[in-house]
Amino acid sequence: MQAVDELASRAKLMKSLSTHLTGLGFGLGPWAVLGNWWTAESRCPYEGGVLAVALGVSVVGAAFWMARRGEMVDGSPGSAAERSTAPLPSDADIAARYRMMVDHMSEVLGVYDAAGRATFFSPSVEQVFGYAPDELVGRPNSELVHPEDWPALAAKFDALRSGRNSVVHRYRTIHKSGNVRWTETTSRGVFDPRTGELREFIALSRDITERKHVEQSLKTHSLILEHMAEGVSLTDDAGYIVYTNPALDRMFGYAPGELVGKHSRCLNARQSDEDDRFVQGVVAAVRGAGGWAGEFHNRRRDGGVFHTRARITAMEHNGRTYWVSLQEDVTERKQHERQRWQSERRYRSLIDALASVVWTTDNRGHLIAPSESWRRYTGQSWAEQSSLGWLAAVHEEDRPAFREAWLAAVEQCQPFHREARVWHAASNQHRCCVARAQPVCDPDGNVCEWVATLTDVADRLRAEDAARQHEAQLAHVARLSTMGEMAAGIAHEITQPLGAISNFAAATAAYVDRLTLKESEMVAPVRVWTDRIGEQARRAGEIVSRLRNFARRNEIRRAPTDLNDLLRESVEMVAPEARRRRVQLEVQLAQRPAIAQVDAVQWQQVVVNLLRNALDAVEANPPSDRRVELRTASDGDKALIMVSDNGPGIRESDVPYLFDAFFTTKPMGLGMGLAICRTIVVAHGGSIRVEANRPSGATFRIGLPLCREAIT
Amino acid sequence: MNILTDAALVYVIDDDDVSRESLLALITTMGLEARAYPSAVDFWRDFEPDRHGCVVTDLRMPDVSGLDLQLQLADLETPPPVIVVSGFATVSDTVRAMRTGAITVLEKPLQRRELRQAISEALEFDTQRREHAAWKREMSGRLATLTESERRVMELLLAGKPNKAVASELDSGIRTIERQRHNLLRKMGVDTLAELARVVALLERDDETMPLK
Repeated sequence: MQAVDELASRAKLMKSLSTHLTGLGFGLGPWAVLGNWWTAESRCPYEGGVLAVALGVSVVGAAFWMARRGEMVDGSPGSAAERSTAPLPSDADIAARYRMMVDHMSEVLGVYDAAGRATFFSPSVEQVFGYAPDELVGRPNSELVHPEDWPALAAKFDALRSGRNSVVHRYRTIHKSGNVRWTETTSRGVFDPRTGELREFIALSRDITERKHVEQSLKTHSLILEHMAEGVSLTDDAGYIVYTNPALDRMFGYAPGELVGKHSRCLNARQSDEDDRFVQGVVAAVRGAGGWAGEFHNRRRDGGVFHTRARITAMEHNGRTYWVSLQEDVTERKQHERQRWQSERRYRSLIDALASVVWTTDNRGHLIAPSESWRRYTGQSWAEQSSLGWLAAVHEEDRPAFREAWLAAVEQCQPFHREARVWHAASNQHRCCVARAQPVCDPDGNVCEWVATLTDVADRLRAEDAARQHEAQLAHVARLSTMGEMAAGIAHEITQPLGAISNFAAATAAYVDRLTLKESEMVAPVRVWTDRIGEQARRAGEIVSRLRNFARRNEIRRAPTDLNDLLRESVEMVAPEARRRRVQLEVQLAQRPAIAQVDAVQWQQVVVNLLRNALDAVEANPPSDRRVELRTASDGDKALIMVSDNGPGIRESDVPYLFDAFFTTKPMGLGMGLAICRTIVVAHGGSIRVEANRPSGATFRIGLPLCREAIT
Repeated sequence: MNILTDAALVYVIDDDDVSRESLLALITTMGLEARAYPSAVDFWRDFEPDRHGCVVTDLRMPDVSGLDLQLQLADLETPPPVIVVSGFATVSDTVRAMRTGAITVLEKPLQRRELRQAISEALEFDTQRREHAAWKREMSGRLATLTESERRVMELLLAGKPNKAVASELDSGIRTIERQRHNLLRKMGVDTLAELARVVALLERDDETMPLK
């Protein structure tokens, strides 16, 4: 009974510790640790230790008692010595002593005849099996045994019959109440000294149901401990390892049990100074708070370093302090964390590099985390931007509509895109910005947050504005030039018939003057009218002449200009159209700057006209073969600008009229472009001509005098 | 004021049909004979170099322009005077036309008076040029009749040397020199040595440039 009590009390202790550890997050493992550790530490397996001693005493006692009763002669030297040295008690005394022992022993003493029928039971049988001794005497011993276990037990009895000294057997018995109990029985045969035949069995039984439960539970826990992924170790308060589980051995690369007896220092990868401070910290935490949790830098047996997340708790046992440590290898997790951190860092850098303002809001559109870029741009503190405060940075005229649109977008989960003026702290003014936001959904498709960006477009808008203005200016000049060229063209065309009218009128007048007096009197009005015709024709001629002079009035604002810059700008204006029309536009500008006194806008018009003509010209080619080239070169004191294409070229018969106003080969052409080009080029003292390319296409070649200073 | 002789012929070259016709009408009413051509090529087919006349040409024409025609005419021994008319003459066109020897450049629409004046000038110039050419031919012929010794005497005399110096230089008698001097003056059709000097100077100058008057 003492052994069972002790077992029970141990189990209780373990349970309480287990509960303690479970509270710390250790789970079942440590309980199992304790079970095993206790087993190991006590060096007293319950199967053979204290219990066996108690059992042994009982058996020996019983043997003596039986010997007396059966008038047997005990030939053991011990007994003989005892009898010879001590005053011999009377048989009655001895019988009474053993009877008392038997009556009061917790184990059940049963005696069976050779056939296996019970002849005697100690009183404790009632306590253990529920039956009074009288109820069982005379019945076969098989009756109490669980039917499944009987064959094995019967075999053991056979072994006893065939001369075996004693057998120990564990089996299930049926309690009087019907409950199944685990029983352990040590049986011994008593043989007739003369015939050597088995006379009877003496069996000593005890209930091991409770122990069996503990054992089972310990087995389970031991199994858990063996198979758990976390490493478990137990050290004494001096730091020496007294137990490690297989996972810990594996983790550190040691053979099972190899670590036992070593100092836990050998597992630490830290430098000694660092180690000291670290260990001191851990010791202080465990002593003070009863536990420590953190990260260990461990060294494997082969020297490799790895990280574990560890928990250490102190445990009192038998007046000594033991430290239980549970470790989890986090090397892989740390790698994952590092990758995630890198990925996030990369993402952040990307955002920074985009020079956009980025912020995130919750699914109601409220700012929930401070946005550093928003603060940098608007100067709003976190307190100011939190919730919907960030909207205050939007210009007050734009704010109501912006706010409404934002809330509507958030409500309907629609991507947000809006332009607004937003306060820019650095320049102390509102600047035009584009805000965009996109909902971020969780795996279930619900919006969990919004990621929004703000892009400052003020500079871009300004640049676009400037480009538009430039374009408008060029278009204006182009219109004026076109008008001028048209006027000049019309003037030229009208001059011919007007001249003819004037000539005919004058001829008519002269003819009339040569008539005879009588004839001339008859046609006197004709003479007057022909004069009128002539006058009006001349007047019309003067008007045309004035118009022509007006149109040709050169409003050239010349300034020294680098032709390369001018050409680059012109190319920029044509490049989008070239891309759209899939024309390969090649530009080869002379390395040295070519400075000429020109009206930049007019010259851009010349270059843009020629490039557009070239784009038109290559339209007939397949898209893979549309090439337009702009080149410059210097020819003494002149700059050469060449625009070539690989289109069908210009018909030789068209060449003389190519630069005339109203001359065009395009169905919708005005015939003004090249006329304007020539007018501008000639007005700047330059020349323009066209050459045929081989195998096809045309090159327009412009020569333009360079500034003298620039030539040298 | 019949400075325009009946024998004069005015060539009109203009690619514009109506202009050409009107010019023809106008010039005809001036009492002159005129012929009109749509191009320089047509003109050359009909051109009579020995006949008194002038050319009125448009400036801008396909293939051969007015300026081109001027240059072609300038290659002739006795080029006819040229009047350029244009509806669209730039300053540089005008300058080039004048430098190539045009009498004038007129802008369309023309004034009859201006054109008449220009044609009159051109024909007078042509007359003078022809007269000068005739005189030059005559004088050259006369010069050719001089003997070798008469030529040498003439050169020395024109160099300003007196008879005596000429005689001693040519190792000849003074009488001989005086006779030769008399003969060469007679052959050249002049009375005095000063007159001879002027004729020779004109002939020599003509070898280099055109006479302006």
